[in-house]
Amino acid sequence: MAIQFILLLSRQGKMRLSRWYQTVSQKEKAKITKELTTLILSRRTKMCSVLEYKEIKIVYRRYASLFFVTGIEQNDNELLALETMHRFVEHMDKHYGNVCELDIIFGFEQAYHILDELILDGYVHESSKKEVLRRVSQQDELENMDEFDNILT
Amino acid sequence: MASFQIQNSDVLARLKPFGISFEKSLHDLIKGIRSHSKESEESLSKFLNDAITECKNELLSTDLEIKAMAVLKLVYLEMYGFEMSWCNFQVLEVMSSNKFQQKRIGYLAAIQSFKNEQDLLILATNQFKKDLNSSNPTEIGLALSGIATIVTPNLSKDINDDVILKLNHSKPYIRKKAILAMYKIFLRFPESLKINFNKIIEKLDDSDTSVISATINVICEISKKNPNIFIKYLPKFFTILETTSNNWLIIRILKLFQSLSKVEPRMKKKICPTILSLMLKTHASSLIYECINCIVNGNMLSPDSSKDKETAKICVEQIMKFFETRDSNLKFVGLLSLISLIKLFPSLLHKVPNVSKTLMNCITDEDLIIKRKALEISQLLVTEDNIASIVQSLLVQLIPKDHSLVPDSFKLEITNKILFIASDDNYMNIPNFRWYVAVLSDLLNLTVIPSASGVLTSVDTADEISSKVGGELKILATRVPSSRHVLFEKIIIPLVQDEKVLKYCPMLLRDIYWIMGEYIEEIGASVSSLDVESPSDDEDTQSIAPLGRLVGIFNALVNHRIDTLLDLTSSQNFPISSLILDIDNPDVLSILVQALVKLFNSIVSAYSSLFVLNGRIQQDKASQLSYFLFKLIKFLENWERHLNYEVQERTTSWLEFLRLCLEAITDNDYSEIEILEKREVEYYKKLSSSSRIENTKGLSDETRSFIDEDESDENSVEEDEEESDEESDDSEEESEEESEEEIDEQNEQEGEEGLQEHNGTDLLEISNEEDETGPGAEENADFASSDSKGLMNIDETPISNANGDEIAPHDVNDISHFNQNNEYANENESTDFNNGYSELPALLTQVLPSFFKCYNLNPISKNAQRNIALPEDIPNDEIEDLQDITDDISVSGVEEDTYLDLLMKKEASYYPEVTSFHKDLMEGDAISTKKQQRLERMKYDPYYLASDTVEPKPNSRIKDLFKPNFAKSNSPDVLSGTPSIKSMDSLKGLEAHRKRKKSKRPVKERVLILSEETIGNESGDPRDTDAPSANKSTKAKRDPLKRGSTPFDSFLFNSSTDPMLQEGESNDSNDIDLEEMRRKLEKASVKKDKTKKSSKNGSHSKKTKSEKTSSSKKDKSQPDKADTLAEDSGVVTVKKSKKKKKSKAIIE
Repeated sequence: MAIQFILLLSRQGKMRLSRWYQTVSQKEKAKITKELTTLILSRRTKMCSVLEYKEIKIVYRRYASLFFVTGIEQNDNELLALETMHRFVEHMDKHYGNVCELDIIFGFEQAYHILDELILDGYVHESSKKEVLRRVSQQDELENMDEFDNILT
Repeated sequence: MASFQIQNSDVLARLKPFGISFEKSLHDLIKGIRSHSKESEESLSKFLNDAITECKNELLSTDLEIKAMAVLKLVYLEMYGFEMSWCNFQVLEVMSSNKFQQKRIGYLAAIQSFKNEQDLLILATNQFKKDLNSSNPTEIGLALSGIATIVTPNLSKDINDDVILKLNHSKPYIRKKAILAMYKIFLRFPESLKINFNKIIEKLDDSDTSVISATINVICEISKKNPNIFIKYLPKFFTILETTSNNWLIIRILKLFQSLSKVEPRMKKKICPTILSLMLKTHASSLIYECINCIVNGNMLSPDSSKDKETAKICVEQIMKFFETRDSNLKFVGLLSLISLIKLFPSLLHKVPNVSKTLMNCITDEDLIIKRKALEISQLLVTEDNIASIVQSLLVQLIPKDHSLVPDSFKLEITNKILFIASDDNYMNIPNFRWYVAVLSDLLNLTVIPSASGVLTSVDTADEISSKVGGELKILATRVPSSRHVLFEKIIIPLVQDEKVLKYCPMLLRDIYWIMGEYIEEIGASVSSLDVESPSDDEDTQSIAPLGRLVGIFNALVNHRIDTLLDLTSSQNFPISSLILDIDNPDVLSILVQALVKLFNSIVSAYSSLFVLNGRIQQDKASQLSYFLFKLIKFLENWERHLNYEVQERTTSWLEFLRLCLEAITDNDYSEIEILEKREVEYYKKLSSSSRIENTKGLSDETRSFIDEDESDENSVEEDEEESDEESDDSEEESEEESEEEIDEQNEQEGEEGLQEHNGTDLLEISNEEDETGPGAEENADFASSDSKGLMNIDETPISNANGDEIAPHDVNDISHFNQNNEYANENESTDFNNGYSELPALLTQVLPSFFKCYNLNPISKNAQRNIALPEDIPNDEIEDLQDITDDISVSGVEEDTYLDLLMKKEASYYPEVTSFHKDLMEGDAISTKKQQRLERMKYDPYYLASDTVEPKPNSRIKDLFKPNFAKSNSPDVLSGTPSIKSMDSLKGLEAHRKRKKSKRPVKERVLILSEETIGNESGDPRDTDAPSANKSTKAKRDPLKRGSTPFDSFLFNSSTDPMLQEGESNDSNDIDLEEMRRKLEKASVKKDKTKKSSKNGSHSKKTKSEKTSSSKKDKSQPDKADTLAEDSGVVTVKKSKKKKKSKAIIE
């Protein structure tokens, strides 16, 4: 059930977000990313979005100019992985308000926070859409409090 | 509180325009990266490096605000591949900030970058503890997220209790995070699971669904390693499954059931119906998919049960809905499920409508991934009726579409698949072998032999495909005698004369040359006797005499010398021949050397059957033969000093023999050869000059080059003569001259008689060479009959050539004869007075064929050699004296080729223990009697396959029926009459095939397929047993992406055991990992040992085993032979008949 990693790749092959739930060295990360980028970018839209890569399965889906890529275990449910990614996109869409690639580039820490509220260590821990966003905004409020304090002092 | 927060954010929004210092700095970084990446690589990397140094400086600051910002920037840069572990300490500092904003950044950085930093996390422990016990639930949540991601064995021990406490936190948000974090702690610190197992189970009754979901998640993960401990909670899981409507949760429970069902098969009864109803009720395809996965992967289906089959059928029907949606993802996962179901119940393939059609569609899908998946079970689709269409659609996949290349690996997959499909069940489904040969030919053309626009296959893949297909061709040639002819017509002959093969896939030639050499008679067989081809198909080949084709091929292969004599480097007349010299693969070359000699041998035998009357041959034919021999020798000399031992060895030994032959046939008189060569060279000179466009200028050039070349030509010939002169009498040349004059007179008288005769034969030859054989054949036509084109040149050259000593007068003589009739000239040379006839030396007519024609080569199973036990009655000295043995064999004339040496040596080294053991026993035995016995055995046992029980296979080839003199050396079996029956059979089959040819679908023909000779159980092959163990050891290496949950492998849950005791055992999960590894290694090595032992004992155990298997395989008609080892050798199985149309099993 565990997700091994989630990557967001732009159509040009640039990394927009990366979260690894395994201990992988930076060098290996770069290698895997590179191989996956060439693999995925070469596939056409009509083709299926599950690849077998080494010991794991890669499930990807394209949203606008971004490819959402996850690595899952061999006997995991590919459709569920697609669903998870869709959830993530939905959350971001709600949070940023009609999310676009630039939002994720400039607000990448926000995207990470949303991801952390959806997935914990590779497991989807909250299936409720509202709950995830509520938690994120709660934390944002907390941040703003700090900010406010900052300004006051 | 809430309203205050809103107010705050309003204030902040108003303040934003003034800019908050650190936010700006991050934006600057991102913007900078974006603008620089547009410029160039260098400017970007410079910018990034600057940014990093800037961050480093900022990290030195005491202001936590700036530090946090720098860390955040580094988190961003980490995405670009920059290591950030060097600032772990600063990250820790930021984590410990009182401000949530900074704390959040710190945790984010930690999650992104911490990797098992043992030392560092000792420092972090207190921070985690503090955050876990914070009054703010959000902070607790943050800490739990951090722990779940970065926990280490030491940390997990320290923090265990604090997280356990959080399992009972009032907020479900904390509880669910805590339980997931606990899983991570269990992984690092398995003791904790023993202690806290019940606390986890309690959470199944939590009021909040997401907590239950998280709990199931954890249980599901643990159950993958150790399902037994959860069996007793099955009812609880089941209730959750039935009460919840959350698909995420349901899918998780199904996953859990999958693991549980493997250890508790009884649960299937209760669960299966629920899953089925769930599947039929839901609309979520992910759930349907998971239901099927659960049923299949949970081993809930057994292939024997009809009820299970019903279940599988329902599943398949559900899957078929996936395919209707046209969603490629659904198609893919549907295919995955379908494959696993079909593997269990192959019959469903045809029972559920549209399944086979869908699979076929997937094979032709444009998505390579789907294609490949579907290919996996394509062999199950194959029936006798659709094999042609399936194989065809597989072949079509090799044709590149829309500029998208077919990957090499896919070419290989298709090749393997086609070969597998075809050869499955002893070629059961092949309708007829003509078709199959055509398929193989197409396969080669689509993979290794590039078409005009085609793209090259990489060398490695080409080699692999080549050897695969080549092996198959070899199998066909040996095992399916009736296919040999087609094989020759469609593949062997075209490919031998194809430059592309030489250029792109020389590996293929290894097998091609072998087949060519071994079954070269097939060329002749089509015409001389086996006139069974359907007339519509092979009209042209029928009218062609075999000799012409033989000579055509021979010339194409060895005539490189002509090109060098003509000094041609481009537009050569014999490109094949020159390319052959470039082959550097010793495997191919060593086969080729052999094949060339075999080819020559067949030419000799064709000559002797066509032209020999009463043991005598016309002199001109004899000199033609000697010319062929001369060319062969010259060509083989290219490898006389080859670097590879095998090639050199074969070449030199053949050369030795062939030179002897040449000496015998020419009596050291090479003038005939010179004439023939000169004529041939002239012909090609003419040929190339006529193709030139310039006329006058070209001519003068030509004449000049004529002279040059003639000189060089002569020089080389002279050298040859000098060499041979040393060995022979010097006086011979003189006597020759004398005799020539006499013969001249004689020729004139004789001329007219000879003329008619020769014209007859020449016509035959010329007619052969019109269409197929190209330049080589034309050449043949030239010197056989000297057509009018050639004459002009021949007239000129001798004159310009007048400086030659004894050749000159002779040549002058020739010219006059040429003008009348070419054949005169050829007879000039005859040294006896017997009307221009001479005898061919026995070296050529008897000895040479005897090298090749003693036994028909039988198909021997690949591993059969390995299974042979060393005969117990062979004393050790004999094995040491292997050289002796092989010598004996070659002297007795039964040796096939030098392979035997290798084989026998291999065999000997294979059983060193056994032999040394026997040495002790055998010492002092009368060795000479043993030797005698062995010789006795060897007489009938050319391949030394087994002990004397092996009966060599009778020769079934037709040619042997016509050449009884060769059969003399055969085993007595030949006389038994079986071969004729066999050949009759294939005749019948072909005839039957011809009759049915009209129907469009390739019709099943009756084909005789020789079974492979083997001894015993193939699986006993030590190679086979070695392979998996090797795999295991490589698998032991952990994949970096694999989750490390090994601790549960060995984890025996027993709540009653004293935790203290257990603690000592597994203090550190790192130790456990190590221990685990050691145990695995130990196991692997034990296994290896075992296999080694078994292979050592193999000779004995295998023997008994093989006796069993061979007797079980045994045909009932021969029960008396049941105890012989190599019984299979004599068994010829033909396809068993399903329908009446098909052939019946014929057992020899």
